[in-house]
Amino acid sequence: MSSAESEPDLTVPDEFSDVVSPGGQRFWAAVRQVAVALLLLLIAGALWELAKFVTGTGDRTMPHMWDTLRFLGSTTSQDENYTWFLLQNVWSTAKASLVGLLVGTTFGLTTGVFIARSRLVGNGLMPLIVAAQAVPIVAIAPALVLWLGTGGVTKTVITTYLTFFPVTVATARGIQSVPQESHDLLRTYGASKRTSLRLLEIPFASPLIFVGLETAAAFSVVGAIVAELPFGSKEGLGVVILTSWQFYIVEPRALYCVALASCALGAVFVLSVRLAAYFALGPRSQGEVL
Amino acid sequence: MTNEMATLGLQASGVGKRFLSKGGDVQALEAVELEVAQGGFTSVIGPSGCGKSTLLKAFSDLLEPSTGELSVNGKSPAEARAAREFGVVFQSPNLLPWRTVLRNVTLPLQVMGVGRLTRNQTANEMLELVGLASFTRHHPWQLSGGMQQRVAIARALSTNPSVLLMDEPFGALDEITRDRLNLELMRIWGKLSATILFITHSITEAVFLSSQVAVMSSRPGRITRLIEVDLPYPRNAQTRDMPEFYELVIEVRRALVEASGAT
Repeated sequence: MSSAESEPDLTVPDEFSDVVSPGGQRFWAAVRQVAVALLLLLIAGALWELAKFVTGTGDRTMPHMWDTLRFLGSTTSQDENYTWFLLQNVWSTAKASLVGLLVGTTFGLTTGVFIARSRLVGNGLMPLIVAAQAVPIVAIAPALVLWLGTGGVTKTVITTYLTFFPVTVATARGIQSVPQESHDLLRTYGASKRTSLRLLEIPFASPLIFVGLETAAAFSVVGAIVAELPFGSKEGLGVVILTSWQFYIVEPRALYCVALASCALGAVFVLSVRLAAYFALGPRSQGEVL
Repeated sequence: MTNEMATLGLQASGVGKRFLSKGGDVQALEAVELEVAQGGFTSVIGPSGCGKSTLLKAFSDLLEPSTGELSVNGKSPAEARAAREFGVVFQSPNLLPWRTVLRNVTLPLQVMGVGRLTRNQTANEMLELVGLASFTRHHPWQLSGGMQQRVAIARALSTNPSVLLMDEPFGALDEITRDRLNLELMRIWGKLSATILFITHSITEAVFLSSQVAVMSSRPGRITRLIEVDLPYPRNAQTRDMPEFYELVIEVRRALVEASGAT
């Protein structure tokens, strides 16, 4: 180059030298989140007690929070710690939920890609999928049990059925919103459809796909419990719920304990997905896990 | 073939493009004739919506012209795309937000199946060339608009194309940044000897950069004047102070007024 003074100024502006260094702040942000979550739980408990007090509801219909929690330490008729008994059933339901969530996610991702890729398939398939979602699963669960038995297959079918829908919609919408310019970009490099799915469409859609997965994770727990409700299942939260219904008059606290256990399981599932999103998306996950 | 003549970097003859739409068909391009010598720098200037981007898309094989022929280094746009003869820089930086600066620049090489080491090395060289060597690990959103567009230029250069198709790359930037990037583009071009087709709606930018300015009218989009810019290369900040520069700016402006008056 002829003249040095014509060279543009390439020095690095100061404000860019220390962009994003969350480091220590991240730990305290996490602590704050946990604290807020615990506080909200306490408020929920207080509201329960307040409602009980104001309406004058008896202990049989609305047992005190602390009574319910104390029941977790009691012993079952099989001489087992009640919490231990619940945990075993939570584990059983968790396994079924996880299998259904994995199958449903695989299925949902595939359907979503298909719908996004082909307008014809999409327009034909989408109303059917939506209509299928409107079928109340509790209504057909007994029939499914008759066809497929009370084993793992029924549970997997029901949870898959509930989980694939949010994943499908999220995947399809995510891929459809890839800007035309980005498609053009990949096209100028001569990228195949498969390559652009891998390098452009799936990464672009993944924040939305993770939102779908969060919903699916919650649904998977509900699905597994519903699949356990029809008579014949041997273990799982659904079975415990059923027994607790029967003995509600004698021991109402059991039902509330199962409800809490179901909540906890659902929360663990959803939070796991968020954690996965946090690591998979990096700076795009915009922050917090809770 | 046409071996007796030197192969042109870019050529369009009788190119027309008609878009069918509900509100009536739009003749975006009509009988466009354009020749850019290999290693030449031609700007296409015209009012918004005159079809200049359509012309660039036709050269880059992103759309088919309704009539006429286009060639890039003597090949059809499709052949040239397959042979990776050209790189495209879009109006927006068009970077993938989940990739770091380095990995945005390696993207075309990754699609081509180049090994990781080679592509990282090439990308580092290109980022060095555009003055962003220290930003390889940043994400696009951490950079200013001008820096993002420089990353896009590095990405387009990473496949070592002999032709660069640039669609208003600095259109969204402020005047100061644009002037700076123009200088930088001149510096880069001086090192590369690539053929450049540059779409713009800035008169000073067109005159400053190009050896030839093609003035377009709108509806139908037609090239109404070709103005040779015989300012000496390499051009630098002083070029803008030359009286010849102003004369050419005035000439292009008049040509634009004539072009819009004709329709």
